[in-house]
Amino acid sequence: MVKRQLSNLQSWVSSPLPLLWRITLLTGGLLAILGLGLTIFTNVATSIRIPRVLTFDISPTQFPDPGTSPQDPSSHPSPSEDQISSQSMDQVQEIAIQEFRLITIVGVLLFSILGAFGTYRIAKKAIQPLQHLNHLIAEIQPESLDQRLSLQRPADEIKVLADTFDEMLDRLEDAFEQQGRFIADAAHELRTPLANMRTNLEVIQGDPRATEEDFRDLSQTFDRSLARVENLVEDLLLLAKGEGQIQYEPVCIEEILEKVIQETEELAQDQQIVVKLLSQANHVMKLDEPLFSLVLRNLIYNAIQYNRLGGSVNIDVQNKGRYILIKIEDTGMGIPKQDLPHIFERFYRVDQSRAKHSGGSGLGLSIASHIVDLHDGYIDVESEEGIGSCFTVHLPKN
Amino acid sequence: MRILIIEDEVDMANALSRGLGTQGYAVDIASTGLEGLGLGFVHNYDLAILDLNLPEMDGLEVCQQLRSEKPNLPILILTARERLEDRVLGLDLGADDYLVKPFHFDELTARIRAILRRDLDGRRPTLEVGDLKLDPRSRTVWQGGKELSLTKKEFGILQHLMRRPGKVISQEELIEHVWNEQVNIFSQSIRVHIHSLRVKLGDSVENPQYLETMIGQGYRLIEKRTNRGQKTTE
Repeated sequence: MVKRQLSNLQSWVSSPLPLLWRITLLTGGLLAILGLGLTIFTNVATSIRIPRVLTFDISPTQFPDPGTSPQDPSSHPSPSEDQISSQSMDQVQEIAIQEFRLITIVGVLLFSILGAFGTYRIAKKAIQPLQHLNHLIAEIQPESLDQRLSLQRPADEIKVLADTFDEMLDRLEDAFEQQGRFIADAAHELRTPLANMRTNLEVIQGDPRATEEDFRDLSQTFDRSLARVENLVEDLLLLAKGEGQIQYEPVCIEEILEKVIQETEELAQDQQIVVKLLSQANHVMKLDEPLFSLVLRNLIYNAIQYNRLGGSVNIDVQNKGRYILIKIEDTGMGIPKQDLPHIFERFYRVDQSRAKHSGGSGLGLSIASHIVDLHDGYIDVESEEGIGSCFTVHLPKN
Repeated sequence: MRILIIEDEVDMANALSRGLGTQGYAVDIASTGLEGLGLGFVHNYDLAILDLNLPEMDGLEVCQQLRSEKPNLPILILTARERLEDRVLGLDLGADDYLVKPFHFDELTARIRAILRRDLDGRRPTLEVGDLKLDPRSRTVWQGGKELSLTKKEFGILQHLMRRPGKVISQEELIEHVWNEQVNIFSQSIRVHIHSLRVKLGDSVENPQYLETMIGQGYRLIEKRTNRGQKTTE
C-alpha cells in the first residue's frame, strides 16, 4: 500500500516533466547537494583546523615586545589584555570563517546553477537524436510499415534503439502481410463459389430457351458451391478457435484413430490403400475429442489422398519422454523440399491443381497445426519426394 | 468472334462458355495455364478471358507470355483476386481489362463488346457498312432499316466481314474466328453459310452488291457502298 503510494508519488513527480528538464534539475540538484556537502566539509574542517593554525602562526605577533609598546606602563602584559586580544582574535576568526562560509555557499549555488545550465545544454544535444527518432517513428502508419528508420550514425545506444525498432518493424510488416494475405486468400476462396453461383444463375436467367434440365444442372452447381462456402466458413471458424474454447476430457487415442480409419475407409478402398494402426496399447490423454479427431482425420485423409495407388498408411502411437507421439506415415509422392517449411501456412498448396480437385480449402494442415498448438503440442513432418511423408503429432503428457 | 476462356473452375468455365455461346461467340476452354498458352499460341482469338489462380502456371505469367506472343490479342482478366496490387499488376502486364468475381454476366459481355470495339476505326457501338447495320449487343442486323433474321454463324461471318470492310478475308480466317475448336469445319460448309447469307441479303455471285468472292483468296465485303451509304445517312 505504502509502496504503491510511493511509486504513485514518484510517477507523479517524474512524469509531467520532460526528460531534458529532469536531467537538468537532477544534475543541478546533485551538483548543489555535492557542492553543499563539500562546503560543509571544508567549513567544518576549517572551523576545527584554522583556529589552531591561527593560534600558532599569529600568536607571536599578537604578543608584541613589551618594550616596544608605549602604551604599556608595565613591562608585564596583563592577563586581562591577553584575554581581550585573544577574544577579539576569536571574533576576527569568527567573522572570517562566516565570510568564508557565505562565499563558499554562494559559490556552490552559482556553480551549481552554471553546472545545471551546462547539463541542460549537453542533455539537449544528447536528446536531440531521440527527438529526431520520435518524428521518424510518428510518421510510420499501418499502411507504411515498409518504411525503415535506417538511422545513419555511430553505433551508440540511439543507433541500437533505432536498429531494434527497425527489426520490430520487420516482424510487424511480416505479420501484417501474412494477415493481409490470409484475408485476401479467404476472400478469394469465398468469392470463387459465389461467383460460380451468380454466373451460372445469370446465364440461365438470360437464356430464354433454358430447359428444365438446365435448371437441374444449375441446382447441382448451387449445391456444390454452397458446400464449398459452408466448408470454408466452418474451417475459418475452427482457425479462430481460442484456448478458452477447448474442452478437455480423457480419451483413448487409439479409439479415435480407429474411428477415423473407419470414416476414411471408403476413400482408402477407392485408391486401394491399406491403412494400418500398429499400436496395440491404449494411450489415454486429456484432449478435446471432436477437435482432436479433426486433426487426425485431416492428417489421415491427406495420407490417403496424396498416396500412390495401392500404397499404404501406417499409424503408430508411441510413448517418448515428455510426449506421446502419433505418427502417420504414407507411401505417397512426398513433399518437395522447398514447400516443406510452408505446408502449415493457411491456404498454402503444394500443387494447385491437385488440391483443388480434392475439394480441400487449403486449410486442413493449418487447422491441424492450430488445434495441436491449442493442446500445447506441435506437429512435425519428414518427407522425401517419391518415397513418402511422415507427420508426427507431439502431445505433452501432463 | 472467338473467345478463349482460361479458367480452372469447371462450373465457372461451363457457365461462361454457355452464356457467351448463346451470345453467338465461339468459345474454347482451357483449364490450366499451360493449356491456355498452347491454345492461345495456336489460334487467332479475338479475346482471351483469363483467371489468375491457375494450376501449372500463374495467370499473370500466362498474361505476360500471351501478350508477348500475340501483341494484338485483347486479354480480360476475370478473377477473385481483388487486391489493388493484383489489379495494377495485371493491367501493367498487358491485360486490357480486369473484372473481379463475383461479377454480373451483363457487365462481362458489355466489357467484351467494349474491348472488341477498340481495334475498329470508329468506336461506335454498332457496325455500319453501306446500308447494313449490325448491333452486337442485341445481335440484330438491319439492311436499309429492315431487320434481317440470321443464324448465329451467318451473324458471326457477317460481323467479322463488317469489322474489316473492303479487306479480303480468307476462309481459314473465317473458320478461326467464327467456329470453336470442337467443330471440324471445312471450307465446303463455309460456302454453305456464305450462300445462305447471300440469299438473305438478296445478293448474287455474278453481280455482287455486298459479298464478293475472290477466287482462291476468300471473301470481301464491298466497301464502296459504304461511302454512298454514309453520304445518304449524313
